Amino acid sequence: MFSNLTISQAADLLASGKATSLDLTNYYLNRIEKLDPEIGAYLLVTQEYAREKATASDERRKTGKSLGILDGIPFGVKDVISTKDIETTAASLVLKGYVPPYSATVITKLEAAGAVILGKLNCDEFAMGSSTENSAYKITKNPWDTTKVPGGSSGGSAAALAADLCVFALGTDTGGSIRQPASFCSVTGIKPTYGRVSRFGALPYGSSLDQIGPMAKNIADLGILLEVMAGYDINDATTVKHEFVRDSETQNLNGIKLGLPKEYFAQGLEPEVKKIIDAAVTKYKELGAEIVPVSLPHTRYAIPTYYLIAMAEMSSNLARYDGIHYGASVLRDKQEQVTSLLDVYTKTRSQFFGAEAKRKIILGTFELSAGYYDAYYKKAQQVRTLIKKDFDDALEKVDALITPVSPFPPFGIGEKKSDPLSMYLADIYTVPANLAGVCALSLPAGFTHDGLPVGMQIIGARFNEGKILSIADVYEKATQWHSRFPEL
Amino acid sequence: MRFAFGLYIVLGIAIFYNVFRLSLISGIILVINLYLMSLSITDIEYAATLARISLTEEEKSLYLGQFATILTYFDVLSELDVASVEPIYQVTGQENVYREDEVVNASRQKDMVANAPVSDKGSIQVPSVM
Repeated sequence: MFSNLTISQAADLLASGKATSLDLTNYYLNRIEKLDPEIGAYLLVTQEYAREKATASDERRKTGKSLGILDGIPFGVKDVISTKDIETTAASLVLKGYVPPYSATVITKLEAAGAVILGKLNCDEFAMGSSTENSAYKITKNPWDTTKVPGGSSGGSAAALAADLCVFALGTDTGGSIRQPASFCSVTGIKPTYGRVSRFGALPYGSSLDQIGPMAKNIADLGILLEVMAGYDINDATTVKHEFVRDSETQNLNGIKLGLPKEYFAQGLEPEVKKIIDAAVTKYKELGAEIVPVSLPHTRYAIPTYYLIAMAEMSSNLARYDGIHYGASVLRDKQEQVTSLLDVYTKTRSQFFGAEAKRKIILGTFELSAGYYDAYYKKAQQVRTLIKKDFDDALEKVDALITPVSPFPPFGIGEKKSDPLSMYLADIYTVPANLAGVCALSLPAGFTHDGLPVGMQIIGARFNEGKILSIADVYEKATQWHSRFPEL
Repeated sequence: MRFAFGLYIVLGIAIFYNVFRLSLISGIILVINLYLMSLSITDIEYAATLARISLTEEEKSLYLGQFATILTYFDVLSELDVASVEPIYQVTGQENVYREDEVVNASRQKDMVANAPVSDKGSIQVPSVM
C-alpha cells in the first residue's frame, strides 16, 4: 500500500485518513531494518526521534492544525548536514561522536513544515568523491545492482530513494554530488542556483561551489521541496532574496528551445549512454521543443579548474578539524602522549582523516602555498570567468541545456578507487554548472542493456529552477522512467 | 640532475609496479612527468607540514606519483592566455554583505563546549602552545 510513495501520494494518504504519519514512519523503519544491512544507505537511524515526530504530526492533523503537504512525511538527511542533538559525522572518523548544538537552516525549515527525520545517510567523507566509497564507515551499494556503486557523494541519499527507504532525501552538490548519484540510481535531484538555498549548518567543502538540494522520486517533489528550502538566510551571506516559485504545469514544450552543447557529446561519452540521451532529445522534439546546437568552448578546462578551486577551498575549510573544539581528538585517548598544541593538531588530523581527504587537503595546501598560488588557484579562478561566460552566452540563446550526467553508467565497487584522476574525470558534465553557479537537475532517462540506470541533465540559467523543473516534468510524464524501481 | 633523474626512474618503476599497476607506457610517462614537473618528496613534506598532517614514507611516495599525474593533467590550463581575464570568486554578483554583530549563541555555550575533548568551567582547554 505504501510502496514507492511520492510526497503528493503520501500527503494524500495522510489527508484522507488512510494512513497516519506513524504508519508511514514504521513502514520505512521496518524496510530499513530489513533491507539496509544489504544496501548500506543509512549511517544512523533515529527510530525513537522519528516515531516521536510522527506522533506529534498525527496529533496536529487530528486537531486540524496540519502544517501542510510535508507534515508527517518521512525523509533522510545526508550526513554532512547538521541535525541538532543527532550525531553528524560527514562520514568521517574526524567527526565521530559529534553532536551538533544546532540544526542546519534547511533542517529547521523542513521540520517546521512537519517533515520527519528517519536518519542520516552515508556519503563520501566530507562529500568528496563520486562513488560513496570514501566513507569511513561503510560501502553503500546501488539497489539496481549491488555490485555497483550508487554514485557520490550523495550516494546514501540516492540509494535510499531507489530502495524506497524514505519518501525524499537531502543531498549536497559541489561538483555533481546530487546529480550523478541521482543518475546512477534512477531518481531525481536538483542542484539549485548558487545562493538559492542556505548552506548554514552544512559542513563546508568548496564554499564558492557548494549547494544543498532535494532528491526525490519525481520532478514534482523537487519543486515542492525547493519551495520550502529556498530563501534568504541571515546566517548564509551568499543567499539571495529572489523568491522561488513553481511554474504552472504544462503539457507540451511549444516555443521552448533546448541547447545541445557539442562538447558534451564528444569523445569519452560511452555509446550506450549517448544512445539513451539521443533518444531523450528525440522525445523532446516530439514534445514540441526546438533543439539547437550550442557550444561551451571551455568545457575541456572545467575539470582542472574545478578541482583546483575545490581542493584549495576544501583544504582551508577542513583546517577547522583540529582536535580542540569538537569531534575526534588524540586528547580523548589517555594512552596518547601529546607534548604541545601543534602535536594535537597533527596527530588528530593524521589519524582521523581518510586517504582521499588527506590527498585533497595536501594538494589544496600545495597549490595555495607561496610561489604556486598564481599558477594554480588564481589561474583557475580566471578560467572560471571564461566558463561562466560560456554558460551566460549559451543560456541567452536557449531556455535550457540537455546533456548526459555521467559519461558512463554505474561502475563496479572498487573499480576506480585506486586511480583518483580517472574518478575526477567522471565529473566532466556536472562540475561546469557549479563553476558557473547555474541550476541543474538530473532525472531518469532510461536503462542500459544490463539494466543499469542512466540519467539526463537539464541545466538552466541562474534562478531559473522553475523553468528546468517544468521542462523535466513534461519529459517525465511522457516517458515514465521514474516509475520503475529495482526488485529487492 | 642526472642523479635526480635516476631517482625518479627508480621511484617511477616502484609506483608503476606496486601502486598503480599501470601499463609500461603510462609508467614511462609518469617518470617523465615527475622529472619535468620537478615535484619532489620535499614538496609533499612541506605541504603536509603546512596542512598539519604527518605522512608515512609509503603515503609520501604514493602521493608523489598521484600528484604528478594530477598536476600534469591540470597543466592543460596553461594553453589559455588569461592575462587580461579577471578572476571570479563568486557568481551571483553579491558584494560586501553585512549584518549586525550581535551575540545570539550565548545560551548555547554549554552545548558547544560539551563537544570539546577537554573543558573546564565553560571554557575549552588546550595543551601548552610552545
